[in-house]
Amino acid sequence: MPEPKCPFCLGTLGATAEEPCPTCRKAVTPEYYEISRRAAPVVGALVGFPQHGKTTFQTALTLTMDGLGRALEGAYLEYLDASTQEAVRRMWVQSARGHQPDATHELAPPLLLGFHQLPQLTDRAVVLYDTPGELFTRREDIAAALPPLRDVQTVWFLVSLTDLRQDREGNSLQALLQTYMAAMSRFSTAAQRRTVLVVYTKCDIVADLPADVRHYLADDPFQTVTLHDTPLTPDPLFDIRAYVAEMEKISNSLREYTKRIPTGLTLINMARDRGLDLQFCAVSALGESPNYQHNERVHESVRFRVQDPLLWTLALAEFGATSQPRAERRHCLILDPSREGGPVYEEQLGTKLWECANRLGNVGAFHLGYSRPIARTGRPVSLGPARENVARLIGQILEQEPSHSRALVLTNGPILDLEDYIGSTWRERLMVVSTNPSYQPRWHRFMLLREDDTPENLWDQLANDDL
Amino acid sequence: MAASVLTDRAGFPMIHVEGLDGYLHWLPVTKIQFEAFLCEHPSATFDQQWYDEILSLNPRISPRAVQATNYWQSFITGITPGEAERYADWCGADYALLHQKEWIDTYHRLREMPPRSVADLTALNLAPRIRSLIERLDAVFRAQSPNGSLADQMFLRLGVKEWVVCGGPKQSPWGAWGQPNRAFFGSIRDDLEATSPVFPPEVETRRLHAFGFRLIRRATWRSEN
Repeated sequence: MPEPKCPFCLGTLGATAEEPCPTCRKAVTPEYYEISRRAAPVVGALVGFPQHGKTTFQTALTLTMDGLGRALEGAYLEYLDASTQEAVRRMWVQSARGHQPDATHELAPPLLLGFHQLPQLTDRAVVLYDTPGELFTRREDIAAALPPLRDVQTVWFLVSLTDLRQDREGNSLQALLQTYMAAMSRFSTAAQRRTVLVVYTKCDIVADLPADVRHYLADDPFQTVTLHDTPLTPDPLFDIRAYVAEMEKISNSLREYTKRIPTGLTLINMARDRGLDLQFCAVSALGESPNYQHNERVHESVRFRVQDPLLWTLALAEFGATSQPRAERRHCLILDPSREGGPVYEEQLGTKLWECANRLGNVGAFHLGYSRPIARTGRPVSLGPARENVARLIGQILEQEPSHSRALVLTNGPILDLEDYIGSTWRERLMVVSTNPSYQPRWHRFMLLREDDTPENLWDQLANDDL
Repeated sequence: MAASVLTDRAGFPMIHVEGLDGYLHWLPVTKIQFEAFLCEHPSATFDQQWYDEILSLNPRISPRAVQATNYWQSFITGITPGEAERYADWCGADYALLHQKEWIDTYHRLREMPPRSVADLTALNLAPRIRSLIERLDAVFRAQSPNGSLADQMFLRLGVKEWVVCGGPKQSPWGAWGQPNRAFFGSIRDDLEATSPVFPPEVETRRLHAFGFRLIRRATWRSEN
C-alpha cells in the first residue's frame, strides 16, 4: 500500500489519520487518509491565463462528476473534507441561480475529491488546485505563489482558443508552457516525466475545430448527467480503456490542429524536447456562450466532455502510460564518447543506429557523459565521438528521459554510474551493448556486440514488448 | 515565508539553518552532484582522466551499496578548493563555500540540536537515486551515532574534511574543517575541538583523498524570492 501523502504540501503523512502532517502540520480527514492508503492520490492543477474558463470548467467538472452514478452504475464522488464540501455547495448555489462562478484571484485550498467504484479504476483521491489566471501573466510569481505545482504530475493547461486569438496581451500557448517550465526551474525541479494536458475550453464557439472533434464532443455519454430532469440509463459496458483510446485519437487530431495555431508548433516541439508527455482535450463547460456582461448562463447547461481530463489523469495513474501511437514512443541512443569507441565510430555503427532509430518515431541521441543531446528526431547527422574525452556517465541522461523512454547504449568501457539504476525501471528499458569484451557489466539487459549484429536487430531487441 | 528546504541545481536538498544567512547542503557534496556538473559542463579540465584520478583516491559506490563501512565513498573528495569553487559557480552566483567561522559556528549550533526526520527532504520531488542515497545515509547515521546530533546527521562530523574560505592575515586562502570517520581518514586529534581549521600545504596542486566540501546558498537570493 502506498504511503498517504498530505494534500496540502504533498509530504508523507503520519502513521494514523489522527496525526497532523509532520511537514506542514495541517490536519487531514479520516476519509482522505483512508482512500489515500488504498491508492496514491492524483494531484492536478488547472493553470491558464485569466478569463480562459478555468473556474467555470472546474465547476462544470465537479457538477458532472457529482452526477456520475447516473451514467456509471455504482460510481460516486465523495467530498473528502469540509472545505471541499463548502466549495461545491457554493458551486451548486451559483449554478442553480443561473450564475457563472466567480473568477479565482487567489490560491484557494484544493478540492479533495474521492472517486469510488469507477469501472476498472481503483478508488482514488484527486487533489485539484484551481490557480489564479493572473499568475500566468507574471512568470516570476508562480513558484512562490503555487508551491504545490512543483509536485503536480499532471498539469491541465486550460486554453480558450477564441480568447487566445483575440488576445492583445502577448499571451500564447508557447508563453504558457514557458511560464510553467520557468516555475519548474525555480523549484530546481525537472519537468520530465510529467504530463501536460492542454484542454481547449469554450469549444462550442470554436468554428474551425476538426470534424472528428466536433462529432466526439456531440457524442459525449455524460453530457446530460447534471440535467436531473432528463432520464439517463447507466451504461453497464462502459470501458475506461476504450474511452481513453478514443481520447487519444482525438488528442492526435487536436495535436495536428494545434500545429496551425500561432505558437502551437513551438509548444509541441518544446514539450517534446523537454521530455513532457503532451496531450490534448476539447471541452465545453456550458454548452453555449454565457451572457458575459451579467456573468450569467442563460439556462442550465448541457456540458460536453468536461470529464475527459479527469478520466485521462485517473487512467494514467492506474495504468501508467496509456496506449501511445508508435510514432510518439520515445527512444534514446547513447554512444561512447571516446575516439577509442571501436566499431561505434570506425564502422559508423552509431550513425547507422541513428538512421534506423528515426523510423521508430521520437528519438534523441547522446554521448555518455554529456547531458545535452547531440541529435534529435528527423535530423540527418553523422555521429562522431565527443569533442572532449569525458567520463562515461549515464545518470544525467536517464534522469531527463520520460518514464516511457527506452534506451540503447553502445559503450567501449565501464559506465561509472550504471549500478545506480539496477533497482529502477530502467532495468527493463535500457539495453547496454558493449563493444569491449573486457567490459561485461552486471546488468539485466546486456549483450556483447557480435559481428553479425545489425542496427535493425539491436533496436528490435530493445523494442521487444514481451519484456 | 521562505521554504525550510529546497534543492540545488543538481537536485540535492539544502536546508535553512538558524543563524546562518542562507541554505546549507544537507550533506557534503556527493559524487552524483558533481557528475551533474561534469555532464552539463564537459571540458578538457574535468575529463575522464581527471575523474579517474579522483576515483582512484576515493572510489565511487552506488546509493544502494551504501553502508557504515563505506558511506564516505558517496562524497566527492580529492577536490581542490578551486575546483570546488568551479562547482559553486555552476550552481549559481549565490552559492559559495562557507567561511571558516561560519562553518565552525554552524557546527557548534547544530551539535546542540537533535536530529530530524528526513521525510520533508524525501518529500521533495527528488530523483529516486537521490532519495535512496539520503535515506541510506540517514540509516548509517542512526546506526553509527544513535545518540547523535543534527551535526552528525548532516555529516559535519564523520563526513569529510570540508574546504572553507579563510584568507586572514598570514593565512592560506583555504582551510578545512571536519572529522572524517577514522576508517576513511585516521587522525590523532579531534579536529573539531581545535581552534582553527587545518591548512594543508599546496592546496591547489595536491589532491587530498578525504577533502571535499559543501556549499551555502546565500540569502541575497532569498530576499528576491
